[in-house]
Amino acid sequence: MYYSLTKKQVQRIEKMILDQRIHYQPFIDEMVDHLSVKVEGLMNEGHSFDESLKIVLSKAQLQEVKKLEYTTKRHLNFNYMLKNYFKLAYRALKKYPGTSFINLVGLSLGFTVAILTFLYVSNEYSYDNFHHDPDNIQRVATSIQFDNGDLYETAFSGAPWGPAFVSDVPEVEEMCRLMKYRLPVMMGISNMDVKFYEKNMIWADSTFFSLFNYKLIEGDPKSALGMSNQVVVTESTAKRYFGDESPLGKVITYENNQELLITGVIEDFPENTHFNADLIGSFATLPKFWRILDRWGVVYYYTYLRMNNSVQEAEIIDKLEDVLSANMGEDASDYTLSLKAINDIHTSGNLENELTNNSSTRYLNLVVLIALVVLAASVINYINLATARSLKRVKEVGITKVMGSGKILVITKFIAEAFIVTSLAFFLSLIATGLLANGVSQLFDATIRLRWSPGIVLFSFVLILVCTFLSGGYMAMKMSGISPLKALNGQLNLKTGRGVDLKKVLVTFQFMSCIGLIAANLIIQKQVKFLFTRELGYDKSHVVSIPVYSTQLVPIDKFPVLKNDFTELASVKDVAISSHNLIGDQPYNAAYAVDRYDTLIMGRLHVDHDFVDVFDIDVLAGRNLLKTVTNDTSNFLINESAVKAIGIKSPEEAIGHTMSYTAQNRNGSYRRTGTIVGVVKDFNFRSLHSDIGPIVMDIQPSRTHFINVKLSTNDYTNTIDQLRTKWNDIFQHGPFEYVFLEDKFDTAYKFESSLKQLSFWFVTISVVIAILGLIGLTHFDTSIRLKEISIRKVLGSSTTALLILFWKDYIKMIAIGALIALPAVWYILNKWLSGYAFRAEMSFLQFGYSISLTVVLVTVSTAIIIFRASNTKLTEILRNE
Amino acid sequence: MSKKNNYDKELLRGLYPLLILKLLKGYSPQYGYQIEKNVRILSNSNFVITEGSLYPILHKLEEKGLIKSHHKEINNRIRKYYSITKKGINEFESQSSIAIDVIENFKAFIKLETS
Repeated sequence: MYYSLTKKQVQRIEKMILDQRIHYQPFIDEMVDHLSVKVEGLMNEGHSFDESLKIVLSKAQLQEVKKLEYTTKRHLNFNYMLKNYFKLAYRALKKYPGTSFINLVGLSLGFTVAILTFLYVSNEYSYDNFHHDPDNIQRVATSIQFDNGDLYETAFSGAPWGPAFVSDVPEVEEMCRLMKYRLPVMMGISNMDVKFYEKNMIWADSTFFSLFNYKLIEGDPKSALGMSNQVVVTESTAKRYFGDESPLGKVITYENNQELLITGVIEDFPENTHFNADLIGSFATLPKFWRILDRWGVVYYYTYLRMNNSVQEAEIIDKLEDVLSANMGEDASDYTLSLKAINDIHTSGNLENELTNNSSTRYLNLVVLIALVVLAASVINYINLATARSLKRVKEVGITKVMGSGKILVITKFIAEAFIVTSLAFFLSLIATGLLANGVSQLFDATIRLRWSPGIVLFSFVLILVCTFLSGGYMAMKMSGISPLKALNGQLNLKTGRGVDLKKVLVTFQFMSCIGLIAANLIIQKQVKFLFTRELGYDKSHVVSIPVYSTQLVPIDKFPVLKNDFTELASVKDVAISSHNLIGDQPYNAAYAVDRYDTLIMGRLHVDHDFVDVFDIDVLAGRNLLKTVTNDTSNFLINESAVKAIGIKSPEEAIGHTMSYTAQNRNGSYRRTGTIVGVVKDFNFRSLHSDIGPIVMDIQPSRTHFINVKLSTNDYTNTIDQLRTKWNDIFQHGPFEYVFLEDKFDTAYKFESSLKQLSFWFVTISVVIAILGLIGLTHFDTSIRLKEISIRKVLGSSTTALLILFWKDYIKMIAIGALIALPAVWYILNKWLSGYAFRAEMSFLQFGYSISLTVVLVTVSTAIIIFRASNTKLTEILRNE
Repeated sequence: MSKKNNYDKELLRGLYPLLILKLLKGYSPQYGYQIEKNVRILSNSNFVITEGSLYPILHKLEEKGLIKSHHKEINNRIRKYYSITKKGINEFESQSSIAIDVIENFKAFIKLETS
């Protein structure tokens, strides 16, 4: 008879194996079977179950089994080892839920900031990288040195320059010019009474599609813009105009008098390009209505050049300037050219007349720097908290070492823990990023999208890896190096070989980042507030600006009637017309002959008699332009800067000087001469990034492009309705649009506005992290010095005395942190502020606030923890210690 | 049963996986005790893989995907049966020819006449 073991007998064998503390389940099953077969074999030879069991599972045999489990696992795999470490790490994290939670929240915040910043910054740097060989597509920019020493730096260049560069400079392979009129234009569909007002039409050379990488869906890229009277439309525009019909071969009318044949349909422009358009007219059309195209001195165009690979920038600029000299003679000496690669324009193109509001490298660097400080603060937070917790685990490490764990095992154990927390934090921050991306995009007016790309995968990998080793590495090295004896005694030396207490260094860094970020935030907030509340030299409040798109539909001679109708409204205080919007517009320039100057380039603004009153601009000398004085239609008002530019000592002395310049009207150019009748206080017409500059104002009704209405009420909705009704009574076909100047101002300084928001949120996050860090830090210190606290308490020390004891140490660290952080903040933000012509000065008060706030935070968090520690049962602590 | 050979364990260690693969190639599936016994019987006790060596090797081979296992309930306990995979067969073919080559070269080497 063959013996088979009963269930009970098998269970007995299993129990004996389990009693040997064997835990590896696949191994247990296999051993039970193996030993059972042996027992069955012995039973078949005539032994009883108990005898067989005794033989097979002798004590020595059982120890062998234990050893076998170890050998199997060691042989088995690294995966198992890691799995085990992760299990241990998970248990360790569960054991200290409070610290683990703080770690997780702190790191997640830091990671979320890092990921959002990466997505934002990488999107900013992706602009125009989709063109072929973008580094070799360069835009020509111009600096014009005026006779009075002023420098006008513009993204514009001259129309005749590009073709001359290609023919005279061998290194220039190809060029494309763009022109964009600063005001919207009217487009009509031939034979249909449909009008569109296009704010985004550009004119481009035939090389547009070979130089840039925009995809033409319909039409031939080689000929689409090759001749005059051609236009290419975007997909959206085509749909808007013709629905689902193909627009190819259809004719549209520009400004009621120029027919354009649609020769191509282009894909809508991507978001990450520094310019975009809804319609692209052929540059060859321009001479039909733009008579100044052949003038070398008129800079109003954008010129892009494709360069030969091997060209040195300085060398090529010399050659380009030589071309100007050959064609402009002596005048060329006032012009200095510069080149900028197309993929750098968005991040560093901040000249006058840029096609769009660009970002800036300085701004992006500042964002990255702040994000790095926040990230570093969260990682250091983790190190501090891990250190605090590890002190309670020194004995655990000692026992592990006594049991035979090597250095590598201990290191892996701590790194595994750090990896778990880091990965978990990263995962949480991914969720947070996904949820926050849209909101943050809107808040900062930026494009932030969580999309998986090789860049973000690499970034995530590096972030997790670096943070794992940074956060876990310190304690791993410390713990692995400790001798088992010292570990069992609970001794851990946190000083480095040179006697520097690394813990103190890390905590000082945390204070440093906290002080630095608070100070930086206060300075940024102050600067932005300064910009937004700055005295601009005119009053923009309650002013509605109504653009006049087309003088074809809105005849100039009807403006006096409209003005009168507007003024009659009770809610309207005054009305003025101007050639420009005072915010975010492209100023005109003209060469004025005045006193000793034949051609003094100054800003040109066309106004009417009411302009000065509507904007409440101060007249410093002389008088405003008056309706009662007939000659005032050709007289001038100038600003203080113009007085200086002309070289006149005081505003009063400027009155009566004669000025002249070449103006344009429908019949061509003519010389306009008049007298300076008034000097107004400087007001900001250009960007606040640049100086005010000289401005000359005169009356030229043909240049009416904006009607500025000053309201005397806060009931905007009704007033706008009334204005619209009056407008429609006179101009049935003219579109009524409006913008409040205050809103326009906010849009024009959106970067500053985003930075203000950004710095506020980053600082809030870093302060939260810092508070978490401080809790960890005090927890850490009290952990080490629990025995000391208890003895001091037993000997009669008060909680206040204990608080002061701890507090003194922190104050020293705060002082060191402040000494490092504040000069750095001063240096970095001073550089940032130097980009503004008008800036708020940094003060010691901001630095003082940041230090005070940090001291308050430290005091409060220390007090809470010391209070809690000193109220625990002292005898219990002393017994345990 | 012929007497167990006293080969040096270190010398044989590299051959054990091949012996197991060879056995499973011809007789799959088999469980641990069976493999230990069959190797001993089929090699006339020249090769004895003790359980101390057997189970670590089996787990390692399984982890590498050279053998696979399945469980079956036999006599009130779970038994783990091993069988060779396609990858295991390929591995056996290549590694055994290398082993034979090593042995041939070794034989040739020790036969060299030295002055």
